[in-house]
Amino acid sequence: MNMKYTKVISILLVVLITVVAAGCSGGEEQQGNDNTPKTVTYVTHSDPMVFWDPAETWAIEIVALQNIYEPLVRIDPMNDNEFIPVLATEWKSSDDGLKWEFKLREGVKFHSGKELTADIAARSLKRTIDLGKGAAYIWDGVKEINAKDDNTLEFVLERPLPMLYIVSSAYGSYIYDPDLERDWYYEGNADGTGPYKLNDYSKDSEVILEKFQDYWGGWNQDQFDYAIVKIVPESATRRQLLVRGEADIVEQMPLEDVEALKSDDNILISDITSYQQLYAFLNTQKAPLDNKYVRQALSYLMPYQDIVDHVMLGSATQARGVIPPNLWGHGKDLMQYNYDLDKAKELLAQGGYPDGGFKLLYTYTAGDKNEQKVGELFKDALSKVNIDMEIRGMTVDSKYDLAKATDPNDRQDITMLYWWPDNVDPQGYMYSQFRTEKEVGFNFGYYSNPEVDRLIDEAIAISGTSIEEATEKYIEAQEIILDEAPAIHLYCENYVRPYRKDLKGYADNPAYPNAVFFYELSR
Amino acid sequence: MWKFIIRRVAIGIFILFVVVSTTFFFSRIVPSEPAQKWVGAHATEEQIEAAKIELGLDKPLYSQYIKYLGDLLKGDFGMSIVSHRPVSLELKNAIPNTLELVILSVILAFAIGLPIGVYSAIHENTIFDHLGRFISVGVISMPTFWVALMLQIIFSTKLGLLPLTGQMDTILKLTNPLDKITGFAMLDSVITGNWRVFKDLILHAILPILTLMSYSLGLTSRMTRSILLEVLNEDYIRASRAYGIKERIVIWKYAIKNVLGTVTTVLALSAGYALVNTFVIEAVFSWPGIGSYISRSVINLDYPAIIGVTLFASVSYIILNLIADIIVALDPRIRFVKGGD
Repeated sequence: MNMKYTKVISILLVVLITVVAAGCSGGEEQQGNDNTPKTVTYVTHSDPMVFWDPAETWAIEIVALQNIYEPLVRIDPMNDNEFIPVLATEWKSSDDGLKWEFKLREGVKFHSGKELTADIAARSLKRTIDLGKGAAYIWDGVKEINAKDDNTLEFVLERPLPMLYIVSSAYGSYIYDPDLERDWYYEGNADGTGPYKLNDYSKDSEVILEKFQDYWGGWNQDQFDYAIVKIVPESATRRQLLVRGEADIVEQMPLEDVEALKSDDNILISDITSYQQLYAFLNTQKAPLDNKYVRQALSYLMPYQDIVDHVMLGSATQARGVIPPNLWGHGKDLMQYNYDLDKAKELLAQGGYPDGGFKLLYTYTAGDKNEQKVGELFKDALSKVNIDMEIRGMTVDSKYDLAKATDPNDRQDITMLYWWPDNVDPQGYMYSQFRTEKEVGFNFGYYSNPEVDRLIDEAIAISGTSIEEATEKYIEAQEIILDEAPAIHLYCENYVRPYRKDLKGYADNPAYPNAVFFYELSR
Repeated sequence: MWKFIIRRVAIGIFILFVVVSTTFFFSRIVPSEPAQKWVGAHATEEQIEAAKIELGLDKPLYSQYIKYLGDLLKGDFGMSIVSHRPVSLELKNAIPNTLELVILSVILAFAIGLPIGVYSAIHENTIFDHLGRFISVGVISMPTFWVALMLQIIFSTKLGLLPLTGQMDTILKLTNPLDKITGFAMLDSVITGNWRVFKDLILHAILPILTLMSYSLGLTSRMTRSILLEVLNEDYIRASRAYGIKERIVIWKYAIKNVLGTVTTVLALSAGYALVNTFVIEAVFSWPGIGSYISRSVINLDYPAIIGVTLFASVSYIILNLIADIIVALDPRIRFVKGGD
């Protein structure tokens, strides 16, 4: 290297250092001038932005979108399923339940400045239905949506529907500006009536929401100017951020970390029963599980308490029936199988297998630690009655392929499935998992019982007019299902979220999975 | 020489074609259901069928492949299955963030590694030399994700000197918004004179860059040391010394020339290595670059995104290799003989 170059490089280096130094000192001078805005930070493990179009939303993007867009009504399952007026202030249905009217809140503005009218609301819901994407099916049975006047929205139904549970759905229920194009949304834009508007999005890094000054609910000074959804895939890092106070609420922490955080005085833990329930489906069309007594025996061999205590570290509730607690349709007096070795032996003898002696195949989604651990504990319990079980982790698709094989004898014996609802309605749990299917969808027990089918159909039909009567039907169907045991009902997961103690107003709402309503928070 | 470069570029393009084709078919052979992912977990059969048509998955694989190649030539990488946004848009946002780390770490590795190597070589078998070698072997051998975590624990958690993760402080982003000009955040902050942001960007980048450069640094200093030692034993050095030329000039003017070629070649290749390393490091530091993007895409088998990143990585590799080749070719002792390189 020539000496000249060395000189040039040295000079460049000096210039660079000076620039950096100037930059740093320049920063100090500016520091006093701005007042730091009030921010709240919610840390998630993966980028929430999956669907951008409010008509398509069906995944964790509701973490941000529930703050940007609003439905007519929201539901609070933790408060006896109370309906909270959002864009609608009052509502009524006709006596036959075929017509519903929602009065819209007056003076509601979109972030763009546009005023909300019944016409806009009607057209946005129609667009959702016409696109037919995501959870659009929640509107099945709605014949017409009309704007009766500037702020009255009318629904004409084909059959009575539980409308309040539909308009409060976590997905597919937003009122938005129907004149915006799908492409515009996917360029990373949003325009709703919610308290926060989209300020900035950087993929795999953060979503920044900024307070919408003209929000109909108004603002007080304790609320936050900005709400930040930060994406941090490493759970150890998420924990660090919370402990250091750089995060206010954290989603999806390993339960071991939650245990450790409990001793921190600055941190509280929110722990509520969610709607996410785990099932082990038993192949009712293949020997030996085509035998009801064997299925019942298996139901008695599942070590429920050990699973709740050691797999879920206490952050779960043993399931009671098909429908989880907090959701209507749940039967709190339904029977519950508990681990009982003697009873299981008795039932196996009754079923013609007094000495066990058969082998089962248990499939689960590879990577799901909980399903895997459940399998290991179950295998151990089964070995006590001389039943062997192979535990096979598979990708979701190959698991489904095996479960949908044409010949039931080629399928697995036991497979694991989680279920959660799209809106606060037990229909999916019962209809998708236990009603007779021509082609296998989610009924992985391949269960078919005309009596259960009839009860489910009747429950769905009557749910539009009477939730109480529908609940009775669902409970009756669950009694039969529990007796015939086409599935083992394991546990209902708790949503466990550590958060900073100085954060006020945080209440997790299981009807809107993982969402945080930043408008309710203050410090 | 030009003939050589053109040949290299042609080979590069052919390699790209092979890479794109294999990634396309491999990511489609792996069992996955892109249509299912596109519409969501509880989708009905009809919705999945509709999605297949929308994504063109109803057509046979070879016609999908031909269409994909055609789109690619037009610069269209397709839509991400997971985020429903154009892959090209997402790459455009992520690539500068990664390049910033890679370029800075390679420059620093060179600027620091070279003098260390030279010093080690001159002071062969002294304590400094042993220490230097110990450290350079050490940093090459340590797994990068571990280095990253250790740096975080020491400088962020224990000492509180540097930020834990991210590229930029969020509140600062709100108070001092950064205009996008080139897409390279640091460069943009310098151009717009946004010094507070610049400082913040530097602070956030220190740990990821330290992690990333550790390998290149070790490699550079070791290479420099061993080649320089060899060179210093050659006759022309002995001759220069015999002429009474100052030792400093002997080393920095005559000896170093024979070291630089090899070292820059190694460095160009280690830039490729650094690029791959960002895949791990970005996850640890929540850095919004290509590495975070590919890890998420692979987990979700988001094949348009996977091909997009693979393509970017291969283009980078080919360019880096080309640079390395050209540096070697610049050596006047290397002649281009007909029929050979």
